[in-house]
Amino acid sequence: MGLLTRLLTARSSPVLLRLPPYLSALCIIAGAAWLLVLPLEGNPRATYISENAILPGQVHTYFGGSEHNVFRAYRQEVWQLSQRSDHDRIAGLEQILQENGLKAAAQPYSWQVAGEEIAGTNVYGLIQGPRADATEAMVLIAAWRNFAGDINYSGVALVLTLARYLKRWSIWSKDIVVLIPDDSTYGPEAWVSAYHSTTSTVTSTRNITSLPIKAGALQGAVAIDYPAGPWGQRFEKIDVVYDGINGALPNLDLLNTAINIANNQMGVESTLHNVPNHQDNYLDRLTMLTKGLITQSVGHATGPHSAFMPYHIDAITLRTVGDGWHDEMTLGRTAESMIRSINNLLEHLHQSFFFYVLLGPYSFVSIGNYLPAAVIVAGGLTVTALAMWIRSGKAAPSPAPGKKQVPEKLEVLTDGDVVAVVPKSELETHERKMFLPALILVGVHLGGFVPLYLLNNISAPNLPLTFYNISAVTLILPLYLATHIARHTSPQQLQTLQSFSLLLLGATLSTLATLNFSLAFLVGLLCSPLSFARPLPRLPLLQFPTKATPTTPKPTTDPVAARLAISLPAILLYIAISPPAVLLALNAYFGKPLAWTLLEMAKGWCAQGVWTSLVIWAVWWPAWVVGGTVMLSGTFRAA
Amino acid sequence: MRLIHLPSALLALLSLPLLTPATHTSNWAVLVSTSRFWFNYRHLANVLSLYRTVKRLGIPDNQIILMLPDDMACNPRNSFPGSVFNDKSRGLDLYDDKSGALGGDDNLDMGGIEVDYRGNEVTVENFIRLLTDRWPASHPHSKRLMTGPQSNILIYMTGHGGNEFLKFQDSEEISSFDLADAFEQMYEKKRYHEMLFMIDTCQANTMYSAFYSPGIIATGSSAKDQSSYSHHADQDVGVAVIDRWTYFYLEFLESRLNSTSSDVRLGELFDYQTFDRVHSDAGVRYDLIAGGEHAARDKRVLDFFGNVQGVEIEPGLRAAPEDWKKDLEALQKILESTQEKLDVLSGVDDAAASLHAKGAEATAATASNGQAVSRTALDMAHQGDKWLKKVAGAASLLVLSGVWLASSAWTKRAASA
Amino acid sequence: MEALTRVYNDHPKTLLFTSAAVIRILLAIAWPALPDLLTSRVEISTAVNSFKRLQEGLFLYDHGLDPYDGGIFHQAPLFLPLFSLLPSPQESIGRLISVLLYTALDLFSAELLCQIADSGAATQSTSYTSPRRQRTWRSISVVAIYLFNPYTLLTCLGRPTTIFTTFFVLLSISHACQARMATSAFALAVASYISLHPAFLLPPIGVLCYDRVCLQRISSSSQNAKPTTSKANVTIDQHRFPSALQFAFSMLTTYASTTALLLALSRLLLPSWTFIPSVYLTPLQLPDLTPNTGLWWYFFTEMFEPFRNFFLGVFWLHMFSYSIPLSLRLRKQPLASVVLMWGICCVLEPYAHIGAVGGAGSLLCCVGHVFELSTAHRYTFPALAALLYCTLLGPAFHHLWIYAGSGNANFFYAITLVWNLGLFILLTDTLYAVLRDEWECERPEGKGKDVRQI
Repeated sequence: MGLLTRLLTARSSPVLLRLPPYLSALCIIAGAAWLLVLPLEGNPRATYISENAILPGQVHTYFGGSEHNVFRAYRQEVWQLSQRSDHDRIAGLEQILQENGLKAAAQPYSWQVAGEEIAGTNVYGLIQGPRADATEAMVLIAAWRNFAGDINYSGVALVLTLARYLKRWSIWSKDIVVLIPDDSTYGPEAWVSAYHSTTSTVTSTRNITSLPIKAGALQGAVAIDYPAGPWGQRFEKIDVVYDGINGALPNLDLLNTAINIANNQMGVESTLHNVPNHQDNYLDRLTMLTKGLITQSVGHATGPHSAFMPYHIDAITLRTVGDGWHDEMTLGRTAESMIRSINNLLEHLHQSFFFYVLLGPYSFVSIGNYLPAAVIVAGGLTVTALAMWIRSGKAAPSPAPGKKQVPEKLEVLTDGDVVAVVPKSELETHERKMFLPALILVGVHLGGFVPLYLLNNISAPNLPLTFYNISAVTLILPLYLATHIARHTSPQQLQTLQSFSLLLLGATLSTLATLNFSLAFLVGLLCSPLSFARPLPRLPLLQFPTKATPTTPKPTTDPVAARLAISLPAILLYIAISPPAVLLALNAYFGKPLAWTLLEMAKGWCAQGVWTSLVIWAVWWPAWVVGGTVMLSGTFRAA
Repeated sequence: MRLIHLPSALLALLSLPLLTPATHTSNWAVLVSTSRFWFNYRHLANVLSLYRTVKRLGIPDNQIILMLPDDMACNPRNSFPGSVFNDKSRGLDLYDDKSGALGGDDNLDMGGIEVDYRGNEVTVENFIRLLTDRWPASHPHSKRLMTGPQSNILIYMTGHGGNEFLKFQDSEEISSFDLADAFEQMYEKKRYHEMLFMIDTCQANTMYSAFYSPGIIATGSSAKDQSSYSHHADQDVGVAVIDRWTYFYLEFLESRLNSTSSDVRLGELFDYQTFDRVHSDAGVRYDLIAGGEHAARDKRVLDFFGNVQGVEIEPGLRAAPEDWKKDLEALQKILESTQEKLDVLSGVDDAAASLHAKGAEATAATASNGQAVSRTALDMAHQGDKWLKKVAGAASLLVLSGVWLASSAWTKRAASA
Repeated sequence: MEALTRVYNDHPKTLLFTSAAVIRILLAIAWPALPDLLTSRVEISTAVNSFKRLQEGLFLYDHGLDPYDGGIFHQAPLFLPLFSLLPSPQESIGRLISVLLYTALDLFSAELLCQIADSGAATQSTSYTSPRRQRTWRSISVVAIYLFNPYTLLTCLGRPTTIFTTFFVLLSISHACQARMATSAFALAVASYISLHPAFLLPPIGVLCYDRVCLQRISSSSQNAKPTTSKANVTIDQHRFPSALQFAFSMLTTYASTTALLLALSRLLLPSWTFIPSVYLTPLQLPDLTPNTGLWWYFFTEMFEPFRNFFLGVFWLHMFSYSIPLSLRLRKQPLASVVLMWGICCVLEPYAHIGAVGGAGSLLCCVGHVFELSTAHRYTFPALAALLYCTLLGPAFHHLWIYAGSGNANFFYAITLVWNLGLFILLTDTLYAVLRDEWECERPEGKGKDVRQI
């Protein structure tokens, strides 16, 4: 209680009132620095297998020998199937699975996104463990087209060979599903969503056939991406791809198992994010961290395994890289060993390593160590929000009537600080005027759904044009709001508005940080300048003539040049951190056409439920608009 | 070797009943694995190996209490269904109940495995009840430790443990103090003569540090803060198949105790567990046994791992022949009287039963008639019931609102008055 | 815009009520899956108020079975005849009608809140008049907070039956403010018939009602005798007040007889008395440990069986222990004691949910005239910020725990702890403000000064 009382007194101290801007700047710098410190020697932990049951690489793998001939035959078969029509190909794959004694079925699916159709047919077969109790299953995947869009000749052939091989064992505690989806993104999505739903309702945008054959709860999935052509090609490394949709990650144990088996048992070098020759030095770890951060924040699928993550199924993709001396049998044995390890599981991978940032194949940082980065950044926003709130109370012009004036600093604060419990719906107009700020805030946030809707529902050819229009409107909107609000609001109301906006942003980002750390961190960094947005000095040049009232120049007026010197960089920075500008910049950096990016985003939103667009348009965009409104309001304010 | 020792052994045998009349007359073994799940295969293999050894050395199945929480032989992950091996050579199937399948001799004939406590029965409570023999009267004898003051007991435990505790099936744990108190209770109840306590788990030596009852020799696989390691894994089974400490125990027992008359001392057995072999500091506690370390090390291994079938006849209980004749006569009398009673009763029963049967049929018929009638009535009621019910419900709500209106009218009047 | 402003200035209440109804109905029409989604949220629906469970009970009831046999339905029996008159909410029409019913209920509750705020009971009692009288919130603000706060809004769409509890509690308070003892007791009996814990409001509401009755006597007598009301009257006219004992007796009698009537009516509709254990032992014994926003569930999942009954008793006693002391200490501001007690019930009830918080929070605004004290001297803004954080983090952690499988129960429980802490801070701050308002009246020299613990 003593502490509480002291805290209460402390908040009226003048030092503390001047502190917040520095404090929030410190928070932002600390947040960014935090991530740079993580890859330093001593911070990352060495990976280890925490699940006792998984026993990676403890079994002899017998996939080899005559299976190699079978593989070559299937590879030829797959090549021939690729020359035929889609319908024949599906039938052919289904037939091969059936000939190997699997229960096989096909599942057509289609989506309508942005006027385009995503359609295909998944083929899958089921190996029922002879002594298994049919309550659990694991999935072995080879998409017909890999994530890059090439035909996955050797991958599919390998999975077919493995299906034939695994079928003959009687050691499965789980059923094995062999899945050959049409593509690497939407096929698995259609399959896994149908697997987990009891009914399939056809809508105008989504038509997913239900599955005729199902097994038990899926416990793990391994996808193989090996697009070597019909005459095969040896590979150099295995790249383990692990990012799921919306930044969900598979259990670290599964990843470790894959790396452990590949490196130790098979002697194949394995990489993450395709970072070659990871030397485990600071720079390599930082590279890995950055790549992981970007991939996770995008939130889109990264391979056939990604669709499984939202259903709490741990999944990874093994992707072959380069030209080396490892043959397809090595990859097959790696897959076999993985399947054996998953088979050893008793239930889900339950150790709580779902939150991690990898710095190398053998080092990682767990949630407790990296989450503060995002939370500190979000906390910086909240600090400013609190400061703004207190300041809006202090700046109240008139003390309440009927109260005697006490010449203490505290008293000033006290008098103006009259508050409602739920500010949003506060309708009082005679005390702290919060109705207008709340209305603007709600309005801007609702307005964010307009670009979200447009960009996800307009047909593909018009997407870039729509985007440019939205960008233009986005840039004009703060200006418009500033000019029209400046007439109606007091500085106090602007502070309240900014306070609410930053508070909401901080809370939303903290929440997001628990779901998708990278996205929250990056958006937090990009939004962090908004907490320093203050009304800019008035620029008489920009005054609208209609509003020109006879102004009396203040005695301490700065020259216009000085005002410009402050305003211009601020406005340029402000424009640079706008969502459209950042999107365009990223697009240019990765060298993708804008139309492609926008279409992928729309597809992700509609077909896979990727929230990144929602975060951009309903969290980041409104905060940016409000920040700009506050900043520009000074420029146009009548003196 | 043996010949040289023979005279002294004979001498010892002769002198023992005279000097220390309280030697043991029976041998019991309690073999416990406390962990389940496939990746703990080795713990089951440990216990089964010990089971096989004590059985080989002569302890009969009804004097072995075997606690197995899981069934590895039938686990679907087992690539050798129906078998459990403790070595990657897979020469010996611990689960095999047929001899000669793998070309072995008759010694391998195990006569099957008798598991006394399995699956979820392997709990701390059951283990302590077993030791202290506190059971409900209905508990079968085959699952009890029927020892007395002349019994030697071998207790072997294996599983996952830590400093002064041993986990039971991932859900509960037994502490060294629980164990020590249970042994004390056994001592007070004169449930053992001497006891060899063996434990193979991480930090195993901490488990016997709390013992305080006399007559116990305790040994463990590793010191405090040390792990106990598995010996090797079978790459085809896919799991580790045996723990180091147990492995070297078995190696010793298999190589040195070839017959039920082998004269090997405990000291030799304990000395075999060097750090080089076990990779942890195996420990022994001698101070609870009478005579201390020297006496303990000098005890024969077979005193615990083998079996004796000594019979002790107490002169005081020798009964006169007239006594049992009297008893027999009394028994005869009781038998006759009950027979008579039974005859009378059965006669009555027959008559009553036939009468009842008829009546029951009749009532059953009427009852079924009545049921049918009421059933249709119910169905009919159901037809109209739905609406009736709704009306009744609505009416009750109306009543409520009526009461509300009345009361509010009354308050208004009261207020205006 | 201008027209809207004019409408707002002329008929603010009509505008508010219309827009509130339109928002609710529009949400239900625009996203037909939303009401059912909200119904299945743990933050809104609990074992004793879930709309889904009500459907189960209704099904059994309509098929002539005992609705309490299934062990799923634990709500008051009189809901059954009411809802069996409505079409099934599985279809879109039925869903819309159920939303309409709840919207209407919300609007009625808002109207009651408006009456409570307008009655002036918050600032004026027989023995006390707040110096901050002119700071009383306009009733329209209180109503707006009730109708538009997201907790009430989402709860309305989720349709738990505890909205009826809120309604009847508000009805009881509003009638108490109008000095109508019988109806107040009646409404409170209905509320406690539905949810049990409103029974704890009986002492504060009794005091409030008694106070209002006395005030009415004073004003009527002063109107007869002298045209002006003065404080001197208060002490002089003591003998004209009705006897407190007699008042309490008649209130209790009304309460008890209404409860008896309700139980009797319920028994008439049902084949047996089994509804009594099913409805009233469920909150008492907490057999259903589905997570909710309250403090009980986690505690009792961890509870050792032998101590369970003891702690159940402790928790219930704890909740009750505030009832009488609050109404005694705040006898000069009886509405404040009712408001605070209702807030405490909403935090401490065994099956807590956000709907109750929405109602209690709005009711708290009825004592809005003292908020300047709590914001100036206490932690109102941080507490509100914490509630905002919890509102966002709670569902996220629940998702991580239940669906993503990457978090565990502790995540969600930690958030519910913070949530309840925030609510408690708000309540204690208000209590502080109410007491300080009284204190400043006695010692004007302490006005505006900070309190220090010595």
